[in-house]
Amino acid sequence: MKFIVIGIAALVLLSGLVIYEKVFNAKHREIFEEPTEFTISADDLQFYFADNQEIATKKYMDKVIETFGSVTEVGDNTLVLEDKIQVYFLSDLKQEITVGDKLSIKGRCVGFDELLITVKMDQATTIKTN
Amino acid sequence: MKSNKILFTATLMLISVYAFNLNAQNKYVDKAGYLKFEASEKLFEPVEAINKSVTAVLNADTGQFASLALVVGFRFKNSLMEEHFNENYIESETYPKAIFNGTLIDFDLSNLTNNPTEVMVDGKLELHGKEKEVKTLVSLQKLNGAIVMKGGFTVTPSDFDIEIPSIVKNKIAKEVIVSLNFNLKP
Repeated sequence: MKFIVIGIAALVLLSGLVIYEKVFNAKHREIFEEPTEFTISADDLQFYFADNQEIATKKYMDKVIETFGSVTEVGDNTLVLEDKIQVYFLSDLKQEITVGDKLSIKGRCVGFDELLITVKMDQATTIKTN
Repeated sequence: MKSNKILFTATLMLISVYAFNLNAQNKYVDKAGYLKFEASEKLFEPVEAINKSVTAVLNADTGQFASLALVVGFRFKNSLMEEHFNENYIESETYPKAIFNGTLIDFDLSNLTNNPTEVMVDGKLELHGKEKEVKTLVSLQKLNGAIVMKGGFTVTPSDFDIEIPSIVKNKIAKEVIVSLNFNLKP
């Protein structure tokens, strides 16, 4: 009887700890491992945001998106597709990417930047170079 | 549809050329600027977030300065805190941006050297559908052809009508310290 009580108490404590860990110390999203919700060209994605920010924000913001186009600018941990999508990577780019490369990237859409007239994507990974 | 799109893009480009004076060669831009805010209280879990995808644009002829941060781009150490920040406090789906528009007072590009000098910035910060005047000193220096801007300022959640529920009130500081670091390239 005593063992059962101790057993149950231990189980309750353990599950409490697990729930605490899961809720309060939950890991960040792993964008690369999440399924892609939208696949859309760099041109079209920027067009939708420039056309109607409110609707595009509701539809695309914080969503996992695959987009593609030619590289028009390269920085340390960022690059630009078609002068329209600014892409940020969590770390510096490992593979060599040069202006003119055709590229598909997967990342999280963070919204529209009207100073640069670009859509921003962060936590990106390159998925293929054509 | 296609011709509509071309027309639209052309109009947009035209507007942007006028609005931000893209013709001017003296525009300095950072497309991956750094912004951090902190509202930590002693003894409690740190409340801080960093955004490394901030845009900053300085017109070196006029001293006009603008900066834009997309609020979902703020990253917290604790992902639950990040979720609450976006959903309950800042309401990023309705108000996705923080925008600063202002002027560097008495800015003169030719005065900048390798040594940091302090310059006053005066402008308006728009966030959560509200506007607030921000006046602060920033340090400016010229490094390898770029203008490096560093500084910070303080705001309060109530400045922007952001309500902090009473159960977490003592865990979040009344004053939010914002720090910035921009590397503006010609």
